[in-house]
Amino acid sequence: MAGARWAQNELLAKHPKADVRMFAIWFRMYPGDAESKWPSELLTDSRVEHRWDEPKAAGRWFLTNLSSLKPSRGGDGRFPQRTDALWDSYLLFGRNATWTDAAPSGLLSWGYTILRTKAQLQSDFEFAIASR
Amino acid sequence: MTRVRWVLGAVAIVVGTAEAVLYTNVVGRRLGGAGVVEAYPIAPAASSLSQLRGVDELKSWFNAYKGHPRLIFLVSPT
Repeated sequence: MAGARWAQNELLAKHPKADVRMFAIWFRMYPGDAESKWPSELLTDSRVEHRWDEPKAAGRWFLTNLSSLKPSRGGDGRFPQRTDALWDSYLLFGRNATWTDAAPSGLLSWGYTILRTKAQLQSDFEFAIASR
Repeated sequence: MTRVRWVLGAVAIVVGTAEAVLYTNVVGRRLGGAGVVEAYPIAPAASSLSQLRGVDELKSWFNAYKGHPRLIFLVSPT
């Protein structure tokens, strides 16, 4: 959740004209997590879409497939341990990225945890919005 | 008295027209009314979440925004 707050303040608020699109997928990882605890006051920027993912389908998919995505600007290399889903993580894709049947192309970088890798995210975010 | 009312009415029309022109050219442009998005607005906080309809929905969103940088966050609420 701290990562989402950081992204709101340091990425979106500081780049209000950037044409980035963001998809925030929320799911349970701790015993106390629940959809009712979703912090609706975070990431209220109109460029962001939110979903609740009860079966952790997206997190499970990325945990399984991330090693084959080959980030062009660097991957974190550190995965969450003893979990069934990639979480507290970001994945940043460039403008030309497409998702074919197999997997998305155009991954610029990814990181776990968001706060631990925020310097890379910030740098790559600025690279992505500046490139045409 | 009738003349005073006529004058006041004319003033109101002029002021109203000026306000409309000002709104269209300044506020409308700021909000993208002239086809130029100068900033993305802060949306009102939503009260509930939609359920993700599997990885296929994420894939559809991803491809719908080709041409934009895309950022995916995988997060828990605590």
